[in-house]
Amino acid sequence: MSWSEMHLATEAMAALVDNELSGGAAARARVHLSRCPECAAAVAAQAEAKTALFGSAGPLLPASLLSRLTEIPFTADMAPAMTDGVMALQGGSLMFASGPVPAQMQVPVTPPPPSASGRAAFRLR
Amino acid sequence: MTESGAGELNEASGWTPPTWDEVVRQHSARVYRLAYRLSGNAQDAEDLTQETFVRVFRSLANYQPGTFEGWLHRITTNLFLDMVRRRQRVRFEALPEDAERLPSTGPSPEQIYADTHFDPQVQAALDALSPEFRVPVVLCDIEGLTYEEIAATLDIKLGTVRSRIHRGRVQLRAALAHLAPGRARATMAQGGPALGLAGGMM
Repeated sequence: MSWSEMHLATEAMAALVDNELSGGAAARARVHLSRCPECAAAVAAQAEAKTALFGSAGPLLPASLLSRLTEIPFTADMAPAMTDGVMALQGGSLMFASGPVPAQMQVPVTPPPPSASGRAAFRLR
Repeated sequence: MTESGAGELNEASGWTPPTWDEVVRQHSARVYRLAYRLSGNAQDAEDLTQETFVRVFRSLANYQPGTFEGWLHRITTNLFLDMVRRRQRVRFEALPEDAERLPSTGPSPEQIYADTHFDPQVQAALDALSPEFRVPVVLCDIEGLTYEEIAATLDIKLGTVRSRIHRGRVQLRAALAHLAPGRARATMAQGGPALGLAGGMM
């Protein structure tokens, strides 16, 4: 067996750092890391790059952009066919799905609350 | 709003459709952050965010059930990749002397920090990655998407996601070490990265 065959695959290194390896594969990878300084350093480098990005505060949304976004219903060009039955002005606020709509449109625009058991797919920061 | 037809229509499901204002307020900061991390500058980030919401507004009728965030990620990312492809074509046709001037038009480190609240070296290292690697790394390490979500967003295979994230991080770290030699040394000096990592993952 050559040296290269005895090292972790680079894809596994990234996946290990992101907890994307299955339990068995992750356990085998950790055993290897405990014996192989070379792979351990490479995995540490992955973690280091991730840490540099992770948890950074986001850039602040410019107030001027926010107001441009809220004005989109009044400024964007709309193809007439796409507006049919989708939106209407009601009491000054723009509503989605204001009339009878196909079932596919009756979906919550807000994400469902994260289930207690499943892992949150989108972490809030 | 409560007296609208929409409210009655959705009474059974207990769901009230949000106003456009609510959609914007709930999602704009996140879309802008993603657009900024991908494009590396405020002007492009604003344009990408604006265009993303215009697309959302126009195609809401075609929206298929799924997470709204996933949809936004896909639109923003695809608009960014379109922008990159467009500019690559332009650059290809540009005169060499124009190409040489391009780097100097970027924002200063001070401006980057003021805009992003992000270490300018980190943003610079991110900008140094080719979009092919930058996008999955940003989606993973900044947006917190799973590999599966990234694969779906970019329409690539899971194995490709893994290898691009790995290579992207290797390049990011090399760029950081080049931009800020002290950073890498400081980390290496903290009693061995391998031990620190093994402890953190168990």
